[in-house]
Amino acid sequence: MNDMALLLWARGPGLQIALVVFIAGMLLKLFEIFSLGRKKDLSTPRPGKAWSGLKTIFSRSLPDKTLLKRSFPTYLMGYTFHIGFFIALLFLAPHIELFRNTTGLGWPALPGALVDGISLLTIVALLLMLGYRLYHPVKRFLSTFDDYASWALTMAPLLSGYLAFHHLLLPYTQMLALHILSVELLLVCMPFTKLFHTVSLFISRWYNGDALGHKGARL
Amino acid sequence: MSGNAAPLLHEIAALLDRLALTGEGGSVQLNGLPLQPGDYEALQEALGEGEVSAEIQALGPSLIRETALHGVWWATHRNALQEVVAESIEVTRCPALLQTPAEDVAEAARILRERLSVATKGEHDV
Amino acid sequence: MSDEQSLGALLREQGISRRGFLKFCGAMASLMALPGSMVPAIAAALDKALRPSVIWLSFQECTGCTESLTRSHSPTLEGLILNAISLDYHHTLQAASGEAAEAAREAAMKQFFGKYLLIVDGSIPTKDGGVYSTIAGVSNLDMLHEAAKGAAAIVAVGTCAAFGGLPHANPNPTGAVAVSDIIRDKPIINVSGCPPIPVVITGVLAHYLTFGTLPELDDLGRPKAFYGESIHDRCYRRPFYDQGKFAKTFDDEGARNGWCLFELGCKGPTTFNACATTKWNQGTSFPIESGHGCLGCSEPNFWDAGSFYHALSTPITPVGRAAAVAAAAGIVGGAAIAMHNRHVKAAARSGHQTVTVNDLEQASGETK
Repeated sequence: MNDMALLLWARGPGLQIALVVFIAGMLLKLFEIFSLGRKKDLSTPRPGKAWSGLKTIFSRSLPDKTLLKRSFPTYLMGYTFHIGFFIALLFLAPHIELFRNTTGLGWPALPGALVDGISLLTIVALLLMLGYRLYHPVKRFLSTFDDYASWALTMAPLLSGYLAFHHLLLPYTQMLALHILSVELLLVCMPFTKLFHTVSLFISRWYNGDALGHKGARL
Repeated sequence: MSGNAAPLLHEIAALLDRLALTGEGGSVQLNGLPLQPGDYEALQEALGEGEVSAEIQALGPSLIRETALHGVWWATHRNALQEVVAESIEVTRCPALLQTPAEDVAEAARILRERLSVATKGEHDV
Repeated sequence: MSDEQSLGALLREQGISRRGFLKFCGAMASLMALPGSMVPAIAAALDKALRPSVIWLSFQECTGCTESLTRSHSPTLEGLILNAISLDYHHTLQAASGEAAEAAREAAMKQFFGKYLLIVDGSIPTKDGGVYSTIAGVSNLDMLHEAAKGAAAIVAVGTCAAFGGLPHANPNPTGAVAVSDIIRDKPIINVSGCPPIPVVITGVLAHYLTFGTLPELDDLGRPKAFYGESIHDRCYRRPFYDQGKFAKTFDDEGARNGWCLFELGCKGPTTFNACATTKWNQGTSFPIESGHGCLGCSEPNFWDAGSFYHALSTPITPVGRAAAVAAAAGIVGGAAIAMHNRHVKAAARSGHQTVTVNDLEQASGETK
């Protein structure tokens, strides 16, 4: 199979398969989670806390002061990675073209050089996160195969995209094919790894916020 | 100066250094380079117009001009239909195409002798 | 027919001076992307080069490749190089026709066995024994096998011969394949493009004439001197891509300003060819310069690579239906899981037994 054939497979059948697994898998997981249900809290809800679930979805995106001080590297690298990843995903012109083509929605792109710099920063942050995970005894103890797999699945599109953008290591056509394939692998694995947090974090934040609000905790 | 003119001028400067030091220059092929609009003009402006200009009629006209920078020549080769077939900047004391090929020198001597012998024969006949 | 006369002698016979020859060599060096310092060596080699016999076979093709080569007006480089070879068979260009033409081919194949250069344009249909394209009653498949046997090397001219091209495109009714799919034991140079740039065809011939060897090839068998870099990398509009300035339609402000055509489907980033630098029509321009994106015609399967007008980063097949099917499957599967979960919970509730402290004490007493 030559590079072009690989690229065409990635842009055609590969994408179809990945999308099917991704969409079906995500829905399956969501149904599974919601159908588990929770025990009804029979206590009287405290007053004035009706929106605490919704509020927590947003408020938990901001760092807690005590935790920020205690594990600053985790926060710094975590924010850098997440923000950088979304900028690269949403503001590189070819990516926007993909969204426009599939969903009909489009928005202006950022200059390639800016997205490029941010991507590099994101890759560095991810590498440091892996290093810190391996170095820190507690983190290492808590890490499972899922954590490392999720890291690799996230790193692959970033790295291959960066290398493709700069025409490094492999011919561009081949690297672009690998980049698209790595994204497809990410989509396929998303429902079945810790990467599901992209969706489940909203559910758990709402649940936690609502439960705490019910008890009258300050949020 | 925008685009690709500046890097080309740096390359020409390096070739001039080499020519001054070792006597060996070099050339930059202009066709085949991704010149942006304006690059070509910028190059011409930076190099200027020099003292020597020669035209060669061989497989169409070739114009070879020394630029204002001594040792830097601008060569434009055209075919019989005046289309540019090659264009280059030569860094040399004299472009190879201007020099007479050694075989042609030998041939010229032979041809001249032939003409002389024909002429002498003619004189005797009178 | 080929003879023992050297190329230098032949050109001088045609009244071309040594300076003219040197100029020709200089232009060829620039054509082959060789440094100017190599011109004397090229001149020396070409001066002594013997005219090779060339057999040109046209199979399932549109004659566009031959048109591309011959449209260049003489006396151009192309003309000179064509004069420098002995074109012993080319059924569009040769004067002879019918049996005389085929006899010329057979004579050349016999006389120069092992030495002639075979040029092929067009793909080769293989379905149903190759009946879909024949010359003088001989299928292209058989003729290729026969002619390849005595060839020193094969040049596959055009995307059809190099990668299958248009006849190979889905659904490929004739089972068309590339030369390299059939011939495995001969050196093959792919000069792809629909059509290839004329000077690229002649550049390969010039290289063969000069060095007697094949030029350095990429992983798709194309000469690196011409296919070493992508259209995108050599495009004069590249700075706009880097700045994120794109034409959105063919007649908007961006298009008028000459901005990047990526969003209009330009395949420049994945297309390797010399258009951006060598250009077309005696160096006039190339498609992107005329405001149209690159179609990617020098790459395999370019007809099946999705719309010419959709960006490279978009899917080549619509994803809507797949997404809908997936969503339906997800909902059905999810509902099944939910039912199962409810069932488990209900079973747990109904199986629940109340336990008193006495029961527990009794149980622990028994185990002791």
